[in-house]
Amino acid sequence: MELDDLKNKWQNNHSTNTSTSKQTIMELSQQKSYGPVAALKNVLTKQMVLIPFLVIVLIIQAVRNPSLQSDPFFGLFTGMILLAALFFTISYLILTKMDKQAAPVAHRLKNDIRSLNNMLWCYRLTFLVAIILLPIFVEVFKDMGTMQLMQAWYDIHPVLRIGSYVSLLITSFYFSRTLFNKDFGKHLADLKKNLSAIE
Amino acid sequence: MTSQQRKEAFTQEITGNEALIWKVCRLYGQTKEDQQDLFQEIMVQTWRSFDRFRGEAKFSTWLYQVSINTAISGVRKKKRMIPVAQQDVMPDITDHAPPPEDEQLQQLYTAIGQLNGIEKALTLLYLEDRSYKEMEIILGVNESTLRVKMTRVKEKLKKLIKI
Repeated sequence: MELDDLKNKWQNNHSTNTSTSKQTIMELSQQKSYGPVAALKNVLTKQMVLIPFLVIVLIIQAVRNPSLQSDPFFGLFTGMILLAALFFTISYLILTKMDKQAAPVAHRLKNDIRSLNNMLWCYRLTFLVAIILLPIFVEVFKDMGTMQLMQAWYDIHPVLRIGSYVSLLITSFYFSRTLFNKDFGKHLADLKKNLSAIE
Repeated sequence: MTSQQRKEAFTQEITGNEALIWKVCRLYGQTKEDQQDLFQEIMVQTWRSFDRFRGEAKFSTWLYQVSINTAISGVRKKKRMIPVAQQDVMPDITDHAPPPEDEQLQQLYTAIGQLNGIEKALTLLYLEDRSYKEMEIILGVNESTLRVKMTRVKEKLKKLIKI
């Protein structure tokens, strides 16, 4: 038995159109999406919730202790939060763009892979910039900081401090990759698998 | 186009092509529940993308693109997607299943079930007697590649049906 032998049988078996009411069609189409892009958006939204929370903490701290406002580390944390907010905004826009299925299958697969790779690049860059800025601020502005906590850090031998910065950089490089793969890796792998099957 | 006109045009087009969506669901969903969930997801995605339909190709061609893209992506569900109250309005999938006594068709479905997402799409379009030109528009792969792939899928299915 070959596929061609079954062609007529297939067509005859499915020749009649069904009759779901127009109201039901509209009701179904207004439901929430459960596709992978919607799932990725949920992951991102959960992480984004942290941003307003951190902004509120920073504002409270700045109001309670006005001298903090001129502290370079306060500026660093504010900058990091803004950087994270920028990353989340870009990522959300990328996912929203991906959430349209009207394109030839191979084109959509390629576009989605490109979008997720751009997101990964953006993710790593955000992490890298934040991690590089941290030791720069800590070392360059060490005489300007007002946080008592930092004094203990400067008492540590410079070689050990530099070693810690390098370890932090290496760890964060792998951590960012692991974190991205945990949240987005499976979908990216599925897309690549399907693309290799179609090409 | 007003919102009401858009809804009207959408339901009109879907009503005329509903069987197409069920065929995709039948091939990609393993259980009746999976198929209903996929049907709902395709409805959601079709509606969201409907403003992109410009009428340059046939609606059925465009709908194949959306349905296959959605089916290949799959549905991520942690619990049953369709709420109990809504299950009453869902069309019964058994209406679209092959008759149980037709052993050949049953065998075909079982064999297709073992193919990957792209192979299923190719098989579906072939069984639907779509031209290679139309397949090219739907899948975004050139005609000669599609012919080679189709030959391989046929061979694979032949082996699977024999087993």
